[in-house]
Amino acid sequence: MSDGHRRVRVDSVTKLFPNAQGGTFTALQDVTFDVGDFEFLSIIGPSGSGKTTLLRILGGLEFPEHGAVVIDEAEVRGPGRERAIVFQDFALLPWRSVLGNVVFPLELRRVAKGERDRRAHEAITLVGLAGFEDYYPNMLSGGMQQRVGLARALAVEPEVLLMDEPFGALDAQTRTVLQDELLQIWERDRKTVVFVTHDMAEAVFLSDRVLILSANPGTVHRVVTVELPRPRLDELRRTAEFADLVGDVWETLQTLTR
Amino acid sequence: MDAGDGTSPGGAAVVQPRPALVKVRAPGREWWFLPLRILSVVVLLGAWQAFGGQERSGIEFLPRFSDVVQGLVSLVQDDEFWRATRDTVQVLVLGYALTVVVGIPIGVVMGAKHIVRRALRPLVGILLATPIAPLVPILIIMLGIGISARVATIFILAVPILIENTAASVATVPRRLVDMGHSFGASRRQLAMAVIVPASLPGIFAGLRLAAGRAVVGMVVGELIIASAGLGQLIQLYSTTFDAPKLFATVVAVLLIGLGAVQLVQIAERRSGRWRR
Repeated sequence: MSDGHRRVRVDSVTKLFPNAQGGTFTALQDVTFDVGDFEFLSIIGPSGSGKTTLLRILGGLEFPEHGAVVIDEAEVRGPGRERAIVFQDFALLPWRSVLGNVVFPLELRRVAKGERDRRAHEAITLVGLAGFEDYYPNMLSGGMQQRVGLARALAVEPEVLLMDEPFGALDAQTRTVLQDELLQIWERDRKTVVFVTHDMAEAVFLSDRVLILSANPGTVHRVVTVELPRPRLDELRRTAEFADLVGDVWETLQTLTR
Repeated sequence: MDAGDGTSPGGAAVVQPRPALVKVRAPGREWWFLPLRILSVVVLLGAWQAFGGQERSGIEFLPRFSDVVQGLVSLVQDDEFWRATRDTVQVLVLGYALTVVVGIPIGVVMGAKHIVRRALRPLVGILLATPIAPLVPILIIMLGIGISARVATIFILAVPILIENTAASVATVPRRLVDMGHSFGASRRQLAMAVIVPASLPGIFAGLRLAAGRAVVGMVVGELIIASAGLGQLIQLYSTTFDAPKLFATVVAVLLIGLGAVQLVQIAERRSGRWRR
């Protein structure tokens, strides 16, 4: 699916954290991979494989001890306008309405009010929340809250969308619905997506490639290319090819957690 | 709440208010609540009325409740009382304003910056635990016996609790909100004004309420110890002249000012938090 041009390069990234004994713990070691232009890449791995840390490094919230992340030929030294993160626990501002949350990053960037509202409404409509602009987060279900999180990220029109287990906190049914909708949005407006998950079916269903990390320390163990045709619809989940690929990823993860 | 998700078009579902099948009252809303409240006050005042004005109760000067009411009535007709009240409230407002303007920024920086927290914690802790009375003579030496010493007394008493509450709530702002602000490129200032302060408002308001209470204490202490001024002067006057009804009435006036101050903070809090329920 990738057109060959690479957008993101993760170059031998090593991340250390201090541990309780006063020493260091290697969260990521020598992690290297590329993400192509408009590619949908998932990162999956057992807990402790540093997948969230890796996403935070891509987002510029965390910095590697060795190695670098390069986006569009520029080394990442912090958050940037070409990226937006969708957070696992939504990270909505509870004192702001749906609209208020979606315009928030646009306010930070001093986008003019008219333009701000136009883009926010567009994003809110895209995620199916039109009519809920004035609701507050505590009035919404988890699934709807994450739609707001997604709308907020889309409103800044990023080139690279970073998603940190965005549907991990949701029930299975809602998760499936949101996966379908995410793909629909992505088909219409292709972006480069890096999607962290611990759900194998989710990774296979969404992605062009699935990057499997091993734990302690986190290293790239294997990359699975998903050659299922797009657009992918719900029926795909009940096909043999899909089941085979999920089984393949499952077996690889089994060897890692044993 | 999630159960409804995916049922309506686009998977969107929202919790709609629906007619209650059983009447559920919040605790404290039962029919007997108000009568009970009134009854308890009536019993207390009745006992006061019965006991007051009698030597045999073993209490020298406890005026009857009705005497205090009379004292209050004659006070509010007295220009001197209103002059004193104005003076008192003025100093209270000055001292409290200074507390807010200084306390909140210091608290925010303390909560956000580990180093500042380390540096200021002991100082704030000492101020929180120190009785104010021994500090007042020092303030008099430094500031004289004018308004500034009284304002300073209020400030020193009220500011540590506001700093402590603000710092504690800033330090516990959810990390994910700060990360979110960062990730969308918020500057330090934007992060403070648009994320950290609003997220800390419940704790800041708790501090403002406690500080208002302590400011009123500082106001009275200042008037009693530093300078005969305001309502403190009246309290001294009526206590030295054994005018118990008026003394009690003045104390009631001080109580009402304190109550009013805390009420004002609560109104401001309610206005700021319509998203909280």
